Amino acid sequence: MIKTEHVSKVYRGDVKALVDVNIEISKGEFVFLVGPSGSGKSTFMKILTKDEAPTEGEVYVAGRPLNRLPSWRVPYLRRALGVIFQDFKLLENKKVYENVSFALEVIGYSEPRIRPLVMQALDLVGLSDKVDRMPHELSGGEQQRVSIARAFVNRPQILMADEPTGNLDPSTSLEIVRLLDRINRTGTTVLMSTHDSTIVDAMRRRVIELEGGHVVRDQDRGVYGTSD
Amino acid sequence: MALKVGYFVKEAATNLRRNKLMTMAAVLTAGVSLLLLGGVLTLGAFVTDVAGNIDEQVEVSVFLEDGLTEAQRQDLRTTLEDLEVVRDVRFITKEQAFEEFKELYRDQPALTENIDASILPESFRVQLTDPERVDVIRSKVEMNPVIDEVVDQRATVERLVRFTSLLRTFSFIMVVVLLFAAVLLIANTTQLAIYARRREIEIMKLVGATNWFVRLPFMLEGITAGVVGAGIALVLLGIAKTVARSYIPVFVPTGALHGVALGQILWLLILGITVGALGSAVAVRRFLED
Repeated sequence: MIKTEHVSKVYRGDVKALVDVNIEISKGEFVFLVGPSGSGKSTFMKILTKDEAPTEGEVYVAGRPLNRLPSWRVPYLRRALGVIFQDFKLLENKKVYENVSFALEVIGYSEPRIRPLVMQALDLVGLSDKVDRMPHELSGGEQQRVSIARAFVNRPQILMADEPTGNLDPSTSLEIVRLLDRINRTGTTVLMSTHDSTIVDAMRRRVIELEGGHVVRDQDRGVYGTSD
Repeated sequence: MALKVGYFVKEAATNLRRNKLMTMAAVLTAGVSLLLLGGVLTLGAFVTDVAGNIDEQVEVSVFLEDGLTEAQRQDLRTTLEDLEVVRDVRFITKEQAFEEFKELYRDQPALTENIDASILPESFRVQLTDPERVDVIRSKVEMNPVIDEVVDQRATVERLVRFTSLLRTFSFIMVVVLLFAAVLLIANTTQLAIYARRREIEIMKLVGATNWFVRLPFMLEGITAGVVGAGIALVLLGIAKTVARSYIPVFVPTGALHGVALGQILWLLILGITVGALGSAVAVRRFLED
């Protein structure tokens, strides 16, 4: 589902964000990407969504060789991916329902197809009773669940979460990860970057640890840090 | 992908409303520049008509000294008629000249009442097969002592044509500058619209909306501004032509001032669309593509 071969990323000024990263993630896996700030987690995510191109190496995502993907095909890659962020990225002037339906509208879904899909997604994240609320009327955890519904509504093959619990308290964070786990059980591959050792330790899933751009650990049923 | 026309129109309309002042500035600049262009095109057509008309009926007047004998007149007439470039020669008596004079200055009775036919010269009106060949007449008869003066309207026509082409060149430069200003203003308006929607655009790209889907509402907005500008220009041009017509003497051909020619409509519309599309494309290119 995701495969990188000798991927390196060097930013201007000779900053090595990633060095010779070789990772393979199969369909249906749940993977934590851990490591301190600046270890290359975000760069790695951005390369997978083709927000950035690697300086070297080959990247395959959802069956597509990204190096050879023409820019007009990038939107179709993004449709195979759901992405959520620490800051939710909800549209403040749209209701919960509209925030989710927007994701389908702008990729050309017709109105009759949109409604059931949006309701299913909101039901999955447990917000079917808050469809008419505005984002600012929701708690942080609820807002993140809206963003998960938006990422999942198109049934992507891969869900990528970049520090999704960074702004949330511990118990809410655990709820969010349980939700991602539930989505994972539908067959969706989940890749989540995090700082949160409690969550990683509680879930006992595959852990890939980055440090200074190097993969320093890739462990099944791992915990946050060997040194912790 | 289903083409969601309603979506694009709604988005473009929202953007136009949101930036009313900028949109108005863009529309008006496009309108003024296109109006000026329409004016230049019309003026060109009008002057071409007028010049052609004058050329066609150009006559050379050969004014005679007073007191010529019939033989002298007949001699001169033969000389003129024998010239290859001459099509027709008409003799105008003092009385006929006075009739014409009265007709020409009929609204200035002070002039016509105070003179009589005797002070006007007799003349031959010579029509040429080729109006360019006035010089032949001049070289042939100007030195003849019975002739007072040879007058033709070519110099006037030429001055008019020269002046018009100068005016046209200058106006075209103005049109280009103004159209450029319109492109910049539309780019600026689009830029504001993009800025206002930057969050939406970010999400659209995130969830895989195609570039055209993101661009189209903004392009449509720019094109609408351009087309509305062209519409305003066309309406004003029509009005200006009607007004201008009433100031023009009856004997001047006004074909170019009747209605707005289809060619002009197309020109202005195409340029309006181009200006709008170009302006918004510039902004979209700068702010949407990474």
